Amino acid sequence: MKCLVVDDSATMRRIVVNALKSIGYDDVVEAADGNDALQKCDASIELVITDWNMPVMGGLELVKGLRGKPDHAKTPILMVTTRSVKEDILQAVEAGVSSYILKPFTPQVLKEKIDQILSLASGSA
Amino acid sequence: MDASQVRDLATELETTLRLLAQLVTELESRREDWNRSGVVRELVTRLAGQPNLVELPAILLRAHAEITEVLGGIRLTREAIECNAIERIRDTKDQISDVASTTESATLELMNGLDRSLELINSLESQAHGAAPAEGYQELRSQLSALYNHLQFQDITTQQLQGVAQSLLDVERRVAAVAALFDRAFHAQGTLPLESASGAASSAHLAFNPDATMKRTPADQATVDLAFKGARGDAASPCDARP
Repeated sequence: MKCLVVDDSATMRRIVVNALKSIGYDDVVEAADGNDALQKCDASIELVITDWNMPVMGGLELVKGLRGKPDHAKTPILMVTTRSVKEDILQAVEAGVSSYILKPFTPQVLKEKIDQILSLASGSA
Repeated sequence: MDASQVRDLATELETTLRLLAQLVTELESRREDWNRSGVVRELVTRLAGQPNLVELPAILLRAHAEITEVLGGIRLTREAIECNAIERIRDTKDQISDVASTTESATLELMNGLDRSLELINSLESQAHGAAPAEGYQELRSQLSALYNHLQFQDITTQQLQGVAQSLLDVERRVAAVAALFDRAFHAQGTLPLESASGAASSAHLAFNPDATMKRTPADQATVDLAFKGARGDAASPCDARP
């Protein structure tokens, strides 16, 4: 499965990629912001993991942009962020986020969420 | 109004007051006539009884000197604000950026070290050919992975530092607006940028979250999960998990 990891922090991208590899996802593409991600997110991407607060284009705009593309209307999107307020979560859901993880996270939580959304995606397919 | 204008005005006022004093003296000489009109007599008596009238020009000149001194103090204060406060705020912002940048570089170096250590463990394990227990290598890998994961502190503390830098920027704008207020006292011109110094109501559009925190527990994630389900209409009673 090909994953796209979007975060403006190089260290966070590396941590997410490392966590993904530890749970068996080796095929990973990285992007530094929403705009970069939109350009790199071709039809081969099957899972998107994105941060919220980023320069140029934030995670919320990225999710909206992806949901507007036929190829990614139903692609599982995981938001990994420090934002935890109810209004933020509501905005994320409205934008089309599939699941939501708080930073700092553990690889176990990442695995649980990925399993969950992939299972839901395969169930609805 | 400058000092010479104030002096001219004071001189003019002094002349007027002297004329008024002459008028009072002249009216005083016609006391018999006024006795028929009590109101006029009372007015003249009150006016003539004011001992400070003659001193008024001197008082005005003293007031002008004091105002000039206060304005000089304000000018010095404005210069001090510009030279010290704003400059220090800028220096502090630069230092914060340096700390964030240095921490990121150091964290990436640590990650490189951890990657090399993991490779070394793999290499040692393959060289051991089962001579050492596999659980030991696996435990080492788990420990290094846990360390790797703890390095999330760098992203989170950087967001906190960016929040502090943003606050300093707001303070700088406000201090500059106060300095501009002093300028307006001298020149009576321009509008103040104080309104533009108001902080952002939401950080949703920012490249960082000033409320980012390392103090997260599994309970916070559970609360967010519940809120997420609630927002999707899958469950009820979503609630906040504030930092």
